[in-house]
Amino acid sequence: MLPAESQWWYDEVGDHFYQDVDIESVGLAADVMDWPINRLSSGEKQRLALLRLLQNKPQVLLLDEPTANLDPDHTGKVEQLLKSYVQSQGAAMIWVSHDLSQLQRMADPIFRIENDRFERMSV
Amino acid sequence: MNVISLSPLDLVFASSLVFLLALLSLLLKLKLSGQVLIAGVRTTVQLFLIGLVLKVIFDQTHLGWLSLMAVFMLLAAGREVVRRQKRPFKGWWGLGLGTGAMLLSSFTITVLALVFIIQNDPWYMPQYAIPFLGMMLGNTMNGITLGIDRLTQSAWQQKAVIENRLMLGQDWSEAIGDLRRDCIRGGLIPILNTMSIAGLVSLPGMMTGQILAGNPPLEAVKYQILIMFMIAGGTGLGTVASVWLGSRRLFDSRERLRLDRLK
Repeated sequence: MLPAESQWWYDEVGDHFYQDVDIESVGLAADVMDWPINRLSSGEKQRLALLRLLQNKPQVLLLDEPTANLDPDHTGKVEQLLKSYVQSQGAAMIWVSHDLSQLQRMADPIFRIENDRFERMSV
Repeated sequence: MNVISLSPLDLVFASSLVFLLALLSLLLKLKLSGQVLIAGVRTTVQLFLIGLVLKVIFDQTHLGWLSLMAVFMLLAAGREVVRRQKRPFKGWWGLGLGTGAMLLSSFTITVLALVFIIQNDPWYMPQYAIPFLGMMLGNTMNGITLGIDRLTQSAWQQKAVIENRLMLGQDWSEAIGDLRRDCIRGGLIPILNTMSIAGLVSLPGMMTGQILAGNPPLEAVKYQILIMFMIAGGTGLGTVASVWLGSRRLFDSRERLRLDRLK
């Protein structure tokens, strides 16, 4: 489960990881592991939170706006990472977003909540 | 023993200090005069009452009376623990958590000390049992209060962190583990301070009392060391127990953080 806003409880980034992860897959340099948490931008936090989540090898992903703070370049990287994760692990993914074109790239089927109703969109 | 008995007149002299304080607060417009006088009256009445009660209990050496007194002391301390909390647990847990932890730590350690170290006959000789229990309760209360208060407040403030850790699949104990360690550490700081400065900054109350009562200083020191160690053990046990139980209570059987269980 990836909340919209990630939380960090140790002093350094690396303390939140218990195994090696592919930092470059989200466009960050390897030495980010030694950074103090307060040096991270919201976008960097978001990408690291995703990596932190994936090290648990979850079978179902619940993602709340996983690219909300990212520029198009990094958004593409995150989408690519998640796509390959889902394919290689055979995992299911529920993606919450306001960006319809992103949902069309990443998800099928797509549902929306409108006027208190939960309905499938025809795309 | 060569105790100098205080006459009523001596106490009247001493009370003039309280009146002086009340007068001073009147002159400085502190609006404390009333409270000062009431506090002075309370000190006098409460201490005389407890003096009478203790006289009766000491004359009887009856386990029943002693237990009644012990339960009264425990509940009074338990109530104080709840009153100091900013966000106490709702319902019976509020009173029960602190009181239970004090029951566990103070009572067991007091009884152990009375039976195995003091070895009176009977072991519950009130002259020893009541002051020991009183000192244990009074001091473990500090650790337990600080521990629980810090636990509930930091859980409240760090809700997002704890829930994020749960979302990453950590169990409740791991998700609140760092916080729990901090709380236990915080609860133990007062007794560690007291032990480190004992004798350097202040003479502990019990030792002072024994010296005033004419006991040889080294005898008083031995008793003070005994009671210090008992307090340290009791505070540790009580703080760990209350923080651990309290942190468990913050989560339900499905390991969700339940801050609604706090007031």
